[in-house]
Amino acid sequence: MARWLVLLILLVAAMFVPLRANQFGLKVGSKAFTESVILGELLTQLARSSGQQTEHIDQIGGTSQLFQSLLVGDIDIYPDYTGTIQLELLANEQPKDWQDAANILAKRDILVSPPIGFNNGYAIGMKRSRAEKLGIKTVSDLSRHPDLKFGFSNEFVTRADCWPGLRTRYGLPQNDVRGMEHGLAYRQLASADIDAMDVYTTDAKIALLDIVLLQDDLNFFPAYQAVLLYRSDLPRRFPKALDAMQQLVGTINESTMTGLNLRADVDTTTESVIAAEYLKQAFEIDTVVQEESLYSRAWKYTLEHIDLVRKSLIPAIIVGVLLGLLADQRRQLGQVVLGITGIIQTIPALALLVLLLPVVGMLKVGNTNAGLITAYVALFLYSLLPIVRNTFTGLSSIDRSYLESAAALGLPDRVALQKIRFPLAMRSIIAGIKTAAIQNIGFATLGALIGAGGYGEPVLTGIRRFDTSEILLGAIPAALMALLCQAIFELLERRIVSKGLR
Amino acid sequence: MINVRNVSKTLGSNLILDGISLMLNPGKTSVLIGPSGCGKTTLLKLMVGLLWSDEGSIEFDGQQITPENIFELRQRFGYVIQNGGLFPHLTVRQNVSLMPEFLNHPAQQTNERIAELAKLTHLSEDLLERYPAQISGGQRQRVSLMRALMLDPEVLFLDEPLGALDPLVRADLQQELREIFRSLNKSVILVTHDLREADFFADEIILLKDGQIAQQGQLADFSTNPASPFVSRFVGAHGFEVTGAESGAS
Repeated sequence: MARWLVLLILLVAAMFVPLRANQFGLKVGSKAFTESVILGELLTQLARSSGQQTEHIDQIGGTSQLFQSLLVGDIDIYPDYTGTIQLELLANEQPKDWQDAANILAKRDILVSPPIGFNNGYAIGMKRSRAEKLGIKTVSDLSRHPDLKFGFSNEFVTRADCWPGLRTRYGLPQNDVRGMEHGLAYRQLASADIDAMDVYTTDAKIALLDIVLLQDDLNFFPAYQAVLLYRSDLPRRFPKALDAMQQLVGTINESTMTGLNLRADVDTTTESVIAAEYLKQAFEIDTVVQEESLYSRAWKYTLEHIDLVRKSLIPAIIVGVLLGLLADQRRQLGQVVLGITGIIQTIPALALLVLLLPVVGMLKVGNTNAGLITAYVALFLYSLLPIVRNTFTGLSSIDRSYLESAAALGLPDRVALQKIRFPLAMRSIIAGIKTAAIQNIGFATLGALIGAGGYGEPVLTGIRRFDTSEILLGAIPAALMALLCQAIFELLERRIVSKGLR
Repeated sequence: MINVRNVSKTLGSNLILDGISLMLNPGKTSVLIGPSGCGKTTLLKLMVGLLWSDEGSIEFDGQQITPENIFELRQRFGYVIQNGGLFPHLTVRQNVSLMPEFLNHPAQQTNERIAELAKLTHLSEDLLERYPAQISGGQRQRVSLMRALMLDPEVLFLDEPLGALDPLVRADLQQELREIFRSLNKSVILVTHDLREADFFADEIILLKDGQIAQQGQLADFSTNPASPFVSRFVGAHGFEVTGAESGAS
């Protein structure tokens, strides 16, 4: 008994050894595509130039996640586009015009800057060779080719101001429409797996992959002027930094932006270097870019990843074993518990993250990071099923004769549970925890989508930048961590499971 | 010692015991015997409180056995389950010292008791550190007996203790067991389906059929004075000669 108590205390203590730097000061957010990251980096460096300590939380997946992060205060400012704000973020409120949209945002304590100076709208892009062969120049031309395959980013497929609206306006007949990650769509377009995709009009890959933009001849796509969204407490909390960041307003036109994007995508210069060079050239501001070494980046991702895994897995072990025990003691309740944990397992990870973020944001205490806590909670929920199920199976499949034997000896149930049933079920329980841990290491890469860091971050960057080595920087350590984890649990099994059971 | 009063027990939809009354005497070896499904194992489980009767009661030493006092009473019982029931994750020593440890007996006392019982059951000391899977079937039964005797119980219950052993080992162990029972001078209640084995151990044999007592006494009574055609057939089936006529019809 004392042995288990010590183990429990060690486990709980292991959750609280600090692994990631506490984030304080100003927090800039950006979406998971190059332009947004460059803008985020420009904002970050401008804020730093005013002497303000600033953190850039880059590549948060999806507009709504980023907006949620702004609402709950995980970030203070981020760049977005007028079309997105009006038609997506405020889709329910249906603002009449841009001024109306700004008023609605103000009621939610979000302020908007004047336009930065460029429009990054949506367009449909095709490989030039393919478009010329089929004689397609405008979006209307697409309706003559119903067999074309489209690969759109997941947002584009579902947003009312994107594919559904476009299809209706132009009467497009295509059925082969797949939702996919934007970076992957470029790859598939290059390899002719798809014929057309959605692109942003300032995207560098347009020039790089020789993509033509189809003319929006019915004027479907709205304007997407780049603006800054920030919390209304920002002018009070960081007035100097805000002034510094607002220098960007009205200074970047389309060609400048495309040029910056191209440098990131073609020269694979990092966004921070590009931002620093631009600030030097345009504003004569000198900023120091600390390029982190590969080793120190990998180490940082490793710590963040371990942090994600431990803060979700350790509670899942404790709760999961208890739920498994409960399921064994109360069989009917047990079926309910197993059912619920099973259902949770079937919710797509991204959906679970998006559903949880506002809830966690509402319950948020003090200066905690809602995105991070959401990631912990989601991973915790995913880890429950294998642990609950294996604990229940391990306990309930013990041969009756052992239970009878224990009772006939005179051992009370509580003692029999501890001395007989748990040790006999231990192999199954450890196997469940091992499964949960390995799954968890894989799932934790998704944490990067809501700004929780970890190995998912370089994977996202790599996909975005077409950079295989960057993807491997996340994928290889994640695989190694899973293997290491497997080995640790095998050792643990040898120590904890009795020799008599092998 | 043990007084069974008018006990009935239904399991599922089967009436297993049908109003059995029985008095077992202290210091004697009583054997419950009968064909499969006659209720002999169920009766044994009722006596040690692993099952509870639907009707009637069972007394031990003048005290009715209830769920409230069963944990206390079990420390005065020793129970050897059909296949030994040794815990596979514990060594022989850990298996036999489970109860003394739970009761916080001093380790030295426990070790002395283990040495004493190992000698009694002819188990060598080096076997004590092995796991049940690493010893033979006969050795497992001896360990199971050791475990049952650890707390020096007043009654020893054995459910088909030799059932799973091959005939040679079985014959040897029978001999040893009887010597052990005699040297201990304890009340022993043993379940078997083999009449020859029952006769070998028993001071008194209780023959069950369909949840009732068919006949109670010595094997000699069964063959010279069978209570029913069933008793004659049962005795005959085990290769014993039936010399008397049945006294009643059944």
